[in-house]
Amino acid sequence: MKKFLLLLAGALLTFANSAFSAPLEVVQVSAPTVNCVFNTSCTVTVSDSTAPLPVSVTGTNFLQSRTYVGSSGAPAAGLYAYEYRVNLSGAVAMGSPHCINSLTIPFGPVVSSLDLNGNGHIGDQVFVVTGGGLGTIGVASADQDSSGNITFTFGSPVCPGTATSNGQSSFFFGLVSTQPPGPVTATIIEAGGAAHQIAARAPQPAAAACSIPSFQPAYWNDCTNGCVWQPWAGCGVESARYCSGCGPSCGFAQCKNNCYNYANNKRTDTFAQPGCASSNSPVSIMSCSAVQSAAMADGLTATAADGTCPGGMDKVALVVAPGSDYHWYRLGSDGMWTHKPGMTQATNVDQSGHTISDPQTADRGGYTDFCGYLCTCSDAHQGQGHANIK
Amino acid sequence: MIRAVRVVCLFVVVAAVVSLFLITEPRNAAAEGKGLRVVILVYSGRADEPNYQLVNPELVAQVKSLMGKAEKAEFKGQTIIPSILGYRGIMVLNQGGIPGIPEIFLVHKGMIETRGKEKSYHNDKGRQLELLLLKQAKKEKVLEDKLVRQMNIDMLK
Repeated sequence: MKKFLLLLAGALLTFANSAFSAPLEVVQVSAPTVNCVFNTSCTVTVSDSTAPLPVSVTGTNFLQSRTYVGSSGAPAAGLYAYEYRVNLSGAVAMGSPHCINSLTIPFGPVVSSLDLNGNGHIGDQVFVVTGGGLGTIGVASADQDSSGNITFTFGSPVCPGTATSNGQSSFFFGLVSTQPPGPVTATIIEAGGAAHQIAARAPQPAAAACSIPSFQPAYWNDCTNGCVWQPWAGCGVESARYCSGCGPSCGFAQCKNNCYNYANNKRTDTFAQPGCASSNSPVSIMSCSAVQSAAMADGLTATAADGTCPGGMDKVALVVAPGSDYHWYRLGSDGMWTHKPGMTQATNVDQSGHTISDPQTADRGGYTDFCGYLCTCSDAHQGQGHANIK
Repeated sequence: MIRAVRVVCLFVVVAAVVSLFLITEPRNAAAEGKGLRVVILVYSGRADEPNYQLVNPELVAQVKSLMGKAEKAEFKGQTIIPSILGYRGIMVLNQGGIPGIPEIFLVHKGMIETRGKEKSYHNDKGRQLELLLLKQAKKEKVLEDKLVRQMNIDMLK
């Protein structure tokens, strides 16, 4: 029975691994061939950076990150090439040699619309420069997980030199991205399984495109029977609130999202609190300065009353019932303000039932302190804001 | 012999009844001990609404009595809890499973809304139930005077 359970666990693990990572198409190329994809004259201007490998060796050793951009008229015009090389060729092991089995890089989407080896077939994703370049060890496989991390497993471990052998280097191996390079933390895995972090360069995620939402209460007001309160569970967790008579998975937009969620137009289903995303601790002092500071630590930026938020960001307003609570309003694409008091419905009217053209002059009941305006990276799609709140 | 069998059977039955009592009674006692969770709905941003546990048997009996007397009423909205800032009413969770009291009910401005499989509305005549629960909230020190003023809890002003 125990054996059966172990086998079952192994099978499930294998399934999980295969379900969440996908192999990339690896091709072998010569340096001139791949250069021609990026430049019509088949010469490229590279940008190199290196970081020493965190293994016990003396002598030259590094992970090399090389980037270049496709020039006008080339098949890869405007795209970015990323090449890597694990180099232990000038290194000598201190003690027993620690060889490197694989390299994992947070890469993101890979361009697969190019013919990198010039065989007439489009769809190449990873190229290994086995001709006209440095190194001797190729890439056996490249697998990308659902988070965009790519693990390159070498054909054989890349080892430092010993008293009887020379050190080794991998070939350059590379990929193509639409995104420009920036610093990342990669991971190398030794043949024995030890993992080490190392600096590298890889594509930077595309900046979120901010846009301004309209007032669409139907998205937020999905609990017709009314929400049921339960004690709050903490930052990033909201398992208890629910919509009565609605079922186990409905009514969450209304019941598990508050005014901070609504103003940022970001549905987290956690009853988000200023400060939770930045410090994992909700703001505890109910004053303008404390709540505003916590929100700014989450990434919101202050703006003037007559200011316009840059980059398509949306304007939000903060008010406080001194010592008791805070509340947020958001500006809609029609120039009017709306809000969502706690786990009640989103609304476009104030305490007196008037539509809100300016939250500073609106009837806000006991929320007497008007703190000011901030900008948030919202989205025209309801609940899809890009602010870092939880 | 027959008498001996009868005595054994009687003993088994008595033991079974006593065991059943011993098993179920502590559970009921624990449930009753939880009483009612009374939540004052006031906050917009904060997640920790003012709340207290109502376990005083006399007060629980009063709640039960007022609920029993409450006449059915008509209500034309989705809920008696308005989408406004400040005081929006009271939510009561019958965590103790006290018989005669709904699993969840809300009270606000003369109306009672019960929730569960079927919703129903009742009159809270003279807002007696609401006042009882709010006064107890003050006694439990979950509603300070400042909060009462800020959140416009008119009945306690």
